[in-house]
Amino acid sequence: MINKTLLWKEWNSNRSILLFLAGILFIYPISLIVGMPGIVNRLQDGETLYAVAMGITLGLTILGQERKYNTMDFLLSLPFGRKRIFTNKMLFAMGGIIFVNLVSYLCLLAIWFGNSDIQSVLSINSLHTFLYLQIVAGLFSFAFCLLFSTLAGSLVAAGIFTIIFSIFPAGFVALVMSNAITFSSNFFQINWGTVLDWGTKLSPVDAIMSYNIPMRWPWILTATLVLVGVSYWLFLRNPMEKNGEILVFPSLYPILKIGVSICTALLAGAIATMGGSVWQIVFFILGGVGGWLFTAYLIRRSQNQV
Amino acid sequence: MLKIENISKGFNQHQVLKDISLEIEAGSIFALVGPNGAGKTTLIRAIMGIIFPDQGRVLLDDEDLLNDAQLKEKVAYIPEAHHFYPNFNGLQLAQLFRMTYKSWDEARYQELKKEFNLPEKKKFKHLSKGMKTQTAFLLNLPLHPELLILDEPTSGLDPMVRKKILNLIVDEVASNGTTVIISSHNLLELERICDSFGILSQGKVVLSQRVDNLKEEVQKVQVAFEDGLPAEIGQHPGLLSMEQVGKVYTLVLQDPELLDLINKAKPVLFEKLDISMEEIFMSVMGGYGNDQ
Repeated sequence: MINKTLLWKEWNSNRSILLFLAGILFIYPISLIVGMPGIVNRLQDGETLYAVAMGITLGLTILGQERKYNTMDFLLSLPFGRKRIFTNKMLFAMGGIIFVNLVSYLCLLAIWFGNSDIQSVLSINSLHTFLYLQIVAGLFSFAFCLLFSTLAGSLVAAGIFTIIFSIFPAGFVALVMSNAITFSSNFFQINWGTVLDWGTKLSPVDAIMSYNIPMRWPWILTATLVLVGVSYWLFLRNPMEKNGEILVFPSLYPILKIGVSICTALLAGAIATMGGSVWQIVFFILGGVGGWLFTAYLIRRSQNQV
Repeated sequence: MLKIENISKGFNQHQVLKDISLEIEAGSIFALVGPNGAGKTTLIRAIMGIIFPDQGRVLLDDEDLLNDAQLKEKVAYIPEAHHFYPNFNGLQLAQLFRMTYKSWDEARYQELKKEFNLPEKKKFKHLSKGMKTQTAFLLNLPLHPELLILDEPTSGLDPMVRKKILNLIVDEVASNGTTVIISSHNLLELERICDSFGILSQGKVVLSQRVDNLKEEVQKVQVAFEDGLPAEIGQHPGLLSMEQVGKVYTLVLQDPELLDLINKAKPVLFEKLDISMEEIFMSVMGGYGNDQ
């Protein structure tokens, strides 16, 4: 399944992005060399910000760029099956994330061995943990974005879905909570604090921020594999004529319309809580209808542009 | 031989291809013509396996092209809107083709490179439309493909480049026995090079024929009658088109029975005229349009 030509093609198409992201990751060794204040704490805390940024960027661009420039047609006209194309894209992106982090780690290690002052404030174990966290966070963010890249027909749509769903359970619970304030005494006998806590725990954004909970790591890696597996299954079925649309699977449009309508209804309802329950219900209806119509307009517009 | 069997494809509840079946002889040039929106590009993309047809098969030498990506080693495809990687330059694109295809002929590439004289270090996105088309030919012809699929290859090109490209296509067929499918609106140009053609309209093949057979089958005559055109001729389903100037009628006929009817009606003027592919196309499309 490994194909030298496809890997070469990926390298030439994504070289600038990968090198730029690698450059950002080298902020850690450079900061350590110049003795930037706070860098030791950031390494000890296992900051995953740049690794996550790298995963998101590669997850969105590895398929999104091909859709944006219509190069998927060219790629599929070559004597490579979809399985091979996807596998080599994964090898390039995931291998890239691991490789760049490994090089950054080796640089950190070299600096650590060469400087006794650093050794006294930073343990070698925290560097190992730092590498592991970077890779886990990078791969998970990549796989999460990849899922939306196989569902959405454009890079922008995939990016928007990634943002929405990275905070989805927590954000949704927060919207419901905001609306429930008006009615809580009458209708709801729920401990919203617990619900929000669970919503947050189930949000992907929490998974990649939970670097300080080692027990979660195997789960995050398992989730990564599942996400890549689902993306693979979806990519094999991607209708390429839908490139450029919001979603490439038209059967998902009703779900999208309903989902957006519920969220905009809740958002409008939350805004109107100050006006009392009647106004809130009016806004709730207006928000829902508005969300439905706006989504339908966006879908139609994207379909007309293809 | 390329066999297209019962290909259908629908987009958003609209049936773009309706049960298309075609047979294209090996080593021939097949022109795929039809009005805008007829489904030509969709058919080509379905043949290439870029989009999934809802049903049907594409057989190249009896092997299923849609289920075996390796078979595409024998196929070259040049779309109208060239979809090469925009940030690749000519050298990188050539390297990609060199690495991808076992059949890549370096000597032929070098020969064509001299002929086209394109800037090889310029990124593909910075080339003009004509240069992009020439790059596509420069990269695809060294493959010596069994099947060459061209979607509007000469649209927007100047006459010199167009002539060069058409000559290259004919040379490729003559020297390697390549089967060519060419979709174009330029019927005058196609007439010069194609052996057979298929007319696609509203997702259906309304006519598929060898050019020489078709010119025997479809005839253009100029006739005049003492008492005007007899109704049995004017309403005959084999009459594809009719123009009238005074008492003189110019008729395009597809049915030999019509010629007998004309002779029986004793015309005062009867003359067979040369017919071009464009006239055949216009007549067939006009007739087909009237049926809808």
